[in-house]
Amino acid sequence: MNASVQTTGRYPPGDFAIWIFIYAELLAFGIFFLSYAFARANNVELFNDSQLLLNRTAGAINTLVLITSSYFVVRAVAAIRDNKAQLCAHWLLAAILMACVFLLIKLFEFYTKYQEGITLSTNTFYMFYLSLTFFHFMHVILGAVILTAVMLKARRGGYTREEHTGVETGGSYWHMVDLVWIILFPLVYLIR
Amino acid sequence: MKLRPCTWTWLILMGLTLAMLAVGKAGLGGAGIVSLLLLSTLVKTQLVADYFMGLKRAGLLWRAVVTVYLLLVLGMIGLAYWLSLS
Repeated sequence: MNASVQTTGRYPPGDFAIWIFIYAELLAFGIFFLSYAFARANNVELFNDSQLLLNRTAGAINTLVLITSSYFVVRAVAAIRDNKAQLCAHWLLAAILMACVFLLIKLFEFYTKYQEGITLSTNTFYMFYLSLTFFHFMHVILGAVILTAVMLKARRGGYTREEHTGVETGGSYWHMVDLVWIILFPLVYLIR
Repeated sequence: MKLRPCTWTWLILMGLTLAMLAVGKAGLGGAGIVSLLLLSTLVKTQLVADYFMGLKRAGLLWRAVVTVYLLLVLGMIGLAYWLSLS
C-alpha cells in the first residue's frame, strides 16, 4: 500500500497485511481473556484469593509505561510526516526504552512469583496469570524488535514524508500490544 | 499552549489508569465497581484505537471491527462476572 492510498482515509495507517495480523492477534487475546473470565466464574474464591498476591502497583506502572511508549510512537509517526527523520528516530528510541522498562518490571514480577514457588501448575488462576502475561511479554519483545529495526532505518534516513509506511506499520503493531495490555491489567489484577 | 489530540489522549489514559489503580489498592469489588472498571477500559481502548492507531480517520469498517471486538470482549467479561455472582 502506498502513501497516497493512506491519505484517502479509507485505510488505517500502516501496511494492509499488518492489520490482518493485528485483527488475528486481537482474536487470539480475546479468546484468552474470555477463557480466563469464564474460568474465574467457576472458581471465584480461588481467583480472588490468588489475585490478592499479585503486585497491583507493578501492573499499574507497566500500564502507564506501555501507554507512554505508545504515545512516543504516535509522536514518531507525526515527526516523520513532518519529514523529521532524526526526531522520529529519537521518539522511537524513547518508546523502545519504555518497552525495556516494561520487560524489566515484568521480569521482576515473574522472578518474585518464582521465588514464592509459584508455577503454572500451582492453581488455575496462576496457570492463566503466568501464561497470559508471558504470551503478552513475548509480544512486547517482538514489538520492541520491530521498533528497533524501524528506528535504525529512520536514523539512516530510510523514511521520508512521502514514504514512511514502515514507521506506521511498526507503530500500529505496537499500539495493539498496548491495547491488549489495557484490557489484561484490570481483568487479571483488579476485577474481583 | 494548545495540546495535540494525542497528548490529550495520553493524559486521559494516564488519569484513568491511576484511578483504576486507586480502586484496586482500596480492594474494592462488586458489580458497580466492576462495571466502572470495564467502562473505563472500554473508553481507554477506544481512545487508543481512535487516536493512537489512527482508526478515527480510517474507513468505517476498519474502525467498527475494533469497536465491536471491544464491546464483545468487555461485555462477555461482564457477563462472566455476573454469572459468578449467581
